[in-house]
Formats: sequence, C-alpha cells, structure tokens
Amino acid sequence: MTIGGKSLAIKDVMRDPKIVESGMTFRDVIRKMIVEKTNSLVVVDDEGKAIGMVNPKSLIKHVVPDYLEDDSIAAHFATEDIFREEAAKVSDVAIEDFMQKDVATVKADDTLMQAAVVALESGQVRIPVVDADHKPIGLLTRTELKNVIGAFLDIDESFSK
Amino acid sequence: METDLIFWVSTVIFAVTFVIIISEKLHRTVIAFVGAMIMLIAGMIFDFYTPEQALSAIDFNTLGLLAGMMGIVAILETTGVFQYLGILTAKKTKGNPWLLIVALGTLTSVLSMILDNVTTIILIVPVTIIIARMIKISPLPLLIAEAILSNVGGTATLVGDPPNIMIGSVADLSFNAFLMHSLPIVTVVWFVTLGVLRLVYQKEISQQPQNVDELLKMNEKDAIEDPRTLKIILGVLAFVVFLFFIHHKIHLQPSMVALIGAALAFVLVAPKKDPQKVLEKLELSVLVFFGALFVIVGGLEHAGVLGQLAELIIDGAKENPVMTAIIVLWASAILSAIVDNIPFTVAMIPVIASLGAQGVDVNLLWWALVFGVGFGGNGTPIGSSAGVIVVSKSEQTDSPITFKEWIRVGGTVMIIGLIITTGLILLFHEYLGNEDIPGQCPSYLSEATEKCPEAGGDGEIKIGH
Repeated sequence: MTIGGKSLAIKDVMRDPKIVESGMTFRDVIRKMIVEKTNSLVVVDDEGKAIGMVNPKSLIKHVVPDYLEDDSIAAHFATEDIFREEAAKVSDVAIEDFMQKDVATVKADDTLMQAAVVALESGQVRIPVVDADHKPIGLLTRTELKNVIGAFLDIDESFSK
Repeated sequence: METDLIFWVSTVIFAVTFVIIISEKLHRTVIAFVGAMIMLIAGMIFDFYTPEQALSAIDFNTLGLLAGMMGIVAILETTGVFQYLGILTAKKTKGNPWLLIVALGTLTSVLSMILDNVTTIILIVPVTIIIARMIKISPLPLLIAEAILSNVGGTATLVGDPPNIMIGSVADLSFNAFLMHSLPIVTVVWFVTLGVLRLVYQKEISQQPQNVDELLKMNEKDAIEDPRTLKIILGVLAFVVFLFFIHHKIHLQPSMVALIGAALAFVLVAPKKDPQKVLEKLELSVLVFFGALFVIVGGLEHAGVLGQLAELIIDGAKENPVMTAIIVLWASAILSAIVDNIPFTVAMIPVIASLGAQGVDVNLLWWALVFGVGFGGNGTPIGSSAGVIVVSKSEQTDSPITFKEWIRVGGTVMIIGLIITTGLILLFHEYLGNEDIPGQCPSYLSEATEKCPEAGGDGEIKIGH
C-alpha cells in the first residue's frame, strides 16, 4: 500500500519511544509518566536493550494487594485509606519488580498487518519497535494503527498531528 | 515366580509415582496420569490388570459428587453471598477481636461442612483482611482460625472434604452416618481448638478495635450483585442438603444428589446460555488426578499387593481393633500433615476394605482414617489446601503467616485434637465401631448377610458401585 506515492511501513508511522533505565523506583516512574504526559515507558537495561514496559495497568496491578485482585465484591468494601496505604507501601519498589516483562515487540521492517495481528494476539495496546539488537527505536500505539486504517480509507485527517 | 514379578512391578510403579507426587517436582495431575497409564500398560503386559478393571477401579461416585458440588459452588461464588455473610457476621461482633475469631471461624466451619474448603477460604479471606485493617487489628489470628476451623469443620460431614467423600463411598457411609459418628467428635475437637486459639492469641485478642463505627456502617447488602441467581442457588443448595439427609433411605448415591443439584442450578439460573464459563470452573485437573490415583491403586490391588498388606495386619486388627484404629489415626494424621492427604487416603481405602472383606469389623478404622486425614492437615501450612491459600494471601498483609507461626498454632491444635480423639475412641469405640449403621452395605462385603442380602459374589473389592 502506498500513501502519496510512498509505501507505508512501520518505520514511517511509529512514534518515538519514551525510555527509562532499570533501577528507577515506582515513585520516580509514576512522576515521569505524569510529567511527560505519557502512558507507556519502555524499560531498557545497561546495554540499552528493551527488557520490559510500564503502563498504567502495571502500576495499578502493583498497588492492588493480591488478596483483592480477583475479588471485586470484597474490593467494594475497601476504603480509600487502604488504597492510600497500599500505594505508600510500593513507593520505593524498583521498576524491575512491577514492569510488564513478556512484552511483544515488532521490528521496523515487519509489515503493518503483522503489527496489527501482534496487537490483537498479545492484547497489548502499545508495541515497542526494536532493532536487531533488541534496542527500542519506536513505539506503535492504537493511535498509529488507527491512523494507518484511516490512511487506507483515504481519510485526509490521518497522520495530521 | 510369576506372582512375585507382578508384585514387584506394580509396587515399583506405585512407589515411584507416589514419591514423585509427594516431591512436587512435577505437577501431581501430570505424574498421576502418566503413572496410571504405565500401571495399566504393565498390567496388560504382565496380565494382572485390564482396561475394564481400571475403569471399574475409578470411583465415579466420588468424582460425580465433587463435580456436582463444584458446579453449584461455581455459580454460588459469583453471587457475593460469602462476602455478605462475612460482613454481616463481623458487624455482629462490633469489632471485638475474640468474637471475630469465634464468629468468622464458625462461619467458615459451617460453610466448609457443605461446600469445599478452598472456595470458602478464598472468598472469606479478602473481606476478613479488609475488616481487620479497617478496625486496625491484626488479621493473622483471624486468618489462621479460619483455615484451621475450616479443616476441622470439613471433617464432620460426608461432603466436607474429598477424603470423606472417598471413604464414605467405599464404606457406604451415608451423610447421616457422618452426622452421627463424625460430627460429635468434631464438635468436641472444634471447641477445644477454639480454646487453644484463645490461649495462643491472648495478646492479639486484647487489642482495642478502632473505627468500629466504620465497620458498622458497612452495608453487607452491597455485596449481593445478583439477587435472583442467589435466591435460586440457595434454594438448590437447600434442596441438595435435604436430599443428603435422606439419600440413603431413597437409595440415591451422594454423587446423584450433587449432580441433580448441579443440573437444577444450570436449568434454573441461565438455561439459554452456554454453560462453558461455569464448566471451566470445575477443576478438571483435580478430577483427573483423583481418577488416575484410583487407577494406580486399582493396579496395585489387582496385583494382590494390597491384599498381602492386609494379610500382614489382619491378625493385629482382629485381636486389637482399638489399638489398630489409634495407629491408623496417628499415622494418617502425621502423613497428612507432611504430604497431600489424597494419595494416602486412596491407598489406605483398599487396605481397610480388604480387611473388611475378610471379616474384620472395619467401621472403627474408617472413622479413625476420617479423623486422621482431617485433623492432620492442620499440622503444617502445607498440610491442607486451605492452609496453603491463607498463608499465600497473608503475604501482602502487614503480618504474613510464617511457617514457624503456623507450626506453633496448627501443630498444637493438631496434637491436642489427636489426643482428644484418641481418648474419645477409647471411650466410645463400641459406638463408633458399631457395624449396624442403617442401610450400610459396603461393596467390599464378600458374601451376602442378613442385612445385605444382595452383597457379595466374587469377593472382589469394587470401589464405587
């Protein structure tokens, strides 16, 4: 498929990834997400390789205690104080302990359809794009995939950031 | 020569399978399934065990009862009734820590008598922790009390615990037989257990609860999300319990009662919906594990191993039945504290049944086995599923239950419970061992008697009917 005479590939539509290094604390991570107004961070190790991802769901999952995770009925009775205390408890936890570890990724030269299928299969709404060394070079989100479909349908507003 | 070979082949397959199950190196269902297939193949090669015999070794009464109750509970657990009862009970105590132990302990005991312990514990624990945090007391004594009393309560009835279901099935002990023989002893042990908890947790009990008005403000009715389903399923459950009371009189096997209940629940709650979602909650892994164990032990039995084992102890069992019962009680309790009590129970059942087939009065031994595997589970945190769950759920509270803490309390409870049971067996062995349980015609009876004119025939122990 081509748009304006140019073929459309992952590298043309992906956005820049927001990257954090391992070792950060829960508190720092959530501050960074709030300040930079982002909902996803790609976590890299010392060599810059992608080792995980953080999104609001990983934060929530870490704050909610295990014994409430499968019990929305009991959670109805948990007070705000409990929520506050649980958040305080995890404030200093290192990012490795709450990031999402098995992250589905795509390569820059993979097809867009492949990225779409990976998004469906993994249930992930944000997919890091990595190079041959598994270093993050981009990020695909629902927005990009939605815009791709828009472009295929010749909707002019697609990709007009 | 040939018999010797069969003896050793089946014994080695059994022993290796059980050791791997106990070591927990592989998942118990996987290794039991593999062991069952190896036993059956060996049986066909060495000509001691056929697929037909393996099939009849599976106690479908046990599996049906478990599956039926799982189906009913799968629907019941979504209604919020457990959380409702937990909060309602807690409010009645006005936050008094000791009364909370008594009240929530009683609730879990009573629920565990009819429903499976694991579901009861999984659903009661989260509300317990929330309430304890709200009134700023330690949840630890409450959680330990719930797990321990759930195990004690489950021992009281035919359907309270999987070992009871299996024993009741082979020994043909009815729901009421359990109420008449097991319940009284369990009641005594239950009160003593509560007394032990009171002594052990003196300090925690004297904590002054705070924010009690917040507890009283909790509205338990908020927990009920689907009153229609709840009403139906409680009706079904009441009917099931009613049928349990009379199942022996109307010649209905316990498995039939549970399956009738499940069928009723399915048709009354959501007859147009694919029941796949509910069926997925039937723990197929547990059912396959039990089925495979029956096949393995069936092979051992057909190879004549269990019969020989029974020969070894038959003289002692005949001469000193009370002593034998006390040995069964303690041995099964200690083993159940250390390892999974299910494989042990499955292996013990045919041994006692072959004693019965050779004319020994075995009813006292059945009860000893019931109490042993039931109370033994409290000895260590890994002795029962309820214990394992409570320990893991407590990990994220401010007072996680340590291995040592469990042994201190659970171990004490187990030993004192066993001592009391020993005393009660010594006092009441005539009542407990009374063969004259109404309607009881166990399948292992080798010949017809006045009470069971249709019993007997080939003298083969048929597990299940």
